[in-house]
Amino acid sequence: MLLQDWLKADARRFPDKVAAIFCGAKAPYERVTFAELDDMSDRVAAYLRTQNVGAGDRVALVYDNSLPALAWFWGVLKVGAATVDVPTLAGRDTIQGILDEAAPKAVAIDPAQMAKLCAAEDPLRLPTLVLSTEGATAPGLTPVTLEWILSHTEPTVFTTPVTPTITPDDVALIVYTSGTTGRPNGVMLSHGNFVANLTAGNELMGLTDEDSILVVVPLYYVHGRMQLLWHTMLGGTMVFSAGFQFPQKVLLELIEYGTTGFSGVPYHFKQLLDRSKLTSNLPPKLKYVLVTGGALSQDELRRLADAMPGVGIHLAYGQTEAAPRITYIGPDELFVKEGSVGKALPNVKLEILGSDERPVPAGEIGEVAAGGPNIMKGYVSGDHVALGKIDAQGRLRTGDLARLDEDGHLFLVGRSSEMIKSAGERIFPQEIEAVLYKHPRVEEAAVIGVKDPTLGERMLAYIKLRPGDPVSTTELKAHCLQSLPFVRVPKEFIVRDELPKTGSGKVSRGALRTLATGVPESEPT
Amino acid sequence: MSIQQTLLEYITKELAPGNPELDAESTLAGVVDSTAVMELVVWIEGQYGFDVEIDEITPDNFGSVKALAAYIESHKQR
Repeated sequence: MLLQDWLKADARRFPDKVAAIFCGAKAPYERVTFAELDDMSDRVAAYLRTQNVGAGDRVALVYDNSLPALAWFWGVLKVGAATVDVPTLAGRDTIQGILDEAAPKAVAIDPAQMAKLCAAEDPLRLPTLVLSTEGATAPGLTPVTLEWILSHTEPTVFTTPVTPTITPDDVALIVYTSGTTGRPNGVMLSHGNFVANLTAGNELMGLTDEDSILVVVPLYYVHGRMQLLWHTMLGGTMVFSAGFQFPQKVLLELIEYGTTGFSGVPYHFKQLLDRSKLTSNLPPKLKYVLVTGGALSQDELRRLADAMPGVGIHLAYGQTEAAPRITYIGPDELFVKEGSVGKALPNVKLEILGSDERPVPAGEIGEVAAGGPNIMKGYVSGDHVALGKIDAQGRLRTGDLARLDEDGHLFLVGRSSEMIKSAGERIFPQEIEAVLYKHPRVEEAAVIGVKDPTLGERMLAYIKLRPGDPVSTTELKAHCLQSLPFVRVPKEFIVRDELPKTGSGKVSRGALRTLATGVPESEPT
Repeated sequence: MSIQQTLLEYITKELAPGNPELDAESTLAGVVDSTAVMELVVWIEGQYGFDVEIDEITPDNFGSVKALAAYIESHKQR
């Protein structure tokens, strides 16, 4: 089973059913049926084949959620190549780093991103074959547009199997994640990884083709890809939100389109609780919500349950490297096993490893390790073993600290990495510090996250300046905004004469956290 | 200083410093994300002394500096 077989099956089973709706999009890209999407992506694949893109090749997608992004995605898979998801929210340098590392044969880049990234003083270096949508322009680039391909390419070449050389074990998607190693990692996931994870996940949740979902996360994160692949597996409709900028608008989208499901990270649920009229205006067809990307507190889960009587709350824990789910807990157990992120998926082997690398008894804290058919093929950089993400037994080492109870329920107790989760974004301090260090007056910089009721964590930057005039917060913020989106820019800049150091002379983020919160902590090892 | 000027000054200083092209007519889509909208709401409530209602935080009211200034103006006078 290959992922694109699901789309073909949908096009046969439900040709005229709406596969995807894009709120706020303009014609002709507001909605698409399964048959139309299948046809569009057949044409994309036919075109890619004429450009010698095929099995073993990579095609980067630098697209925000849109119908063309789906056409490119499925077209790339159908020709037997792998997609490379590029987070458009990352800064220019990060995106360039991803393109350099993944070395795609072609890139599909949306007009807005092209305007932003290819017309700057230091334009993005792209492969020769550049694909886009009508209206895209940038100096020196002549992209092949989706519109041109659709009107000049016949899909009929696909009456015979296109990709006989592709097996379920081949890489289908490369998803870049800030991961747990402090730099973006290209996580290589096979067709089989997703098939295994989605099949096992749906055994537990029991969704059908009658289910539909409102998507608020970008497709370039595994959370978005999971929703896309899941609903293609089911033959269910996806509604893509116009964005999470206005939570009340998201609530209105849930009501207007009558989706049965919604998947979000804790930030999304807090926003819906605090900044929309969810409680007094429950979407009538909403059947379930799925919380991923970190647990809501028990208080918040109760608030959510109270606000949405009759709506099942499901919770999943995972990582991009696990395609992505590792554990799951449903509404029946959520308030019985308080604080748990659930049990291992049926085909996932979950272990808690002690410092001697051996599984610890129930109740003891150790590192979460997961094995199974959903675990990634590796990182594009090839150093997943050297980094310790995949161990000698082939297990994924999550870097998360947790304990299991007697029944196999997992309770997370912390992260062994420095990752900051703010407003649903995963942010590595090093990524932000690297930007700060580019400011000519910054001598030392350290970024930490402190608890925040709304954002989850609030990012603070501690800075030591080189001698000279003071530098204003506004200037530091402007400097960051040149390379980072607002959500990844520190909320406060704190200038100090000295920053606390560790024994090895590095700036101590632990000591800074103590300084910021007044609570001493022991650094995770 | 007019509301529009004050607002533009706040946005260009706090939410989008280093964005010289921003003016009253420019769209705020892509400039203010959901976290920036929250900061903006808190600032408006503090600065102009009225509560911004949840269903008024919409693309219509928050779409541009001009639209937002008009929204503030109409609520300030209530």
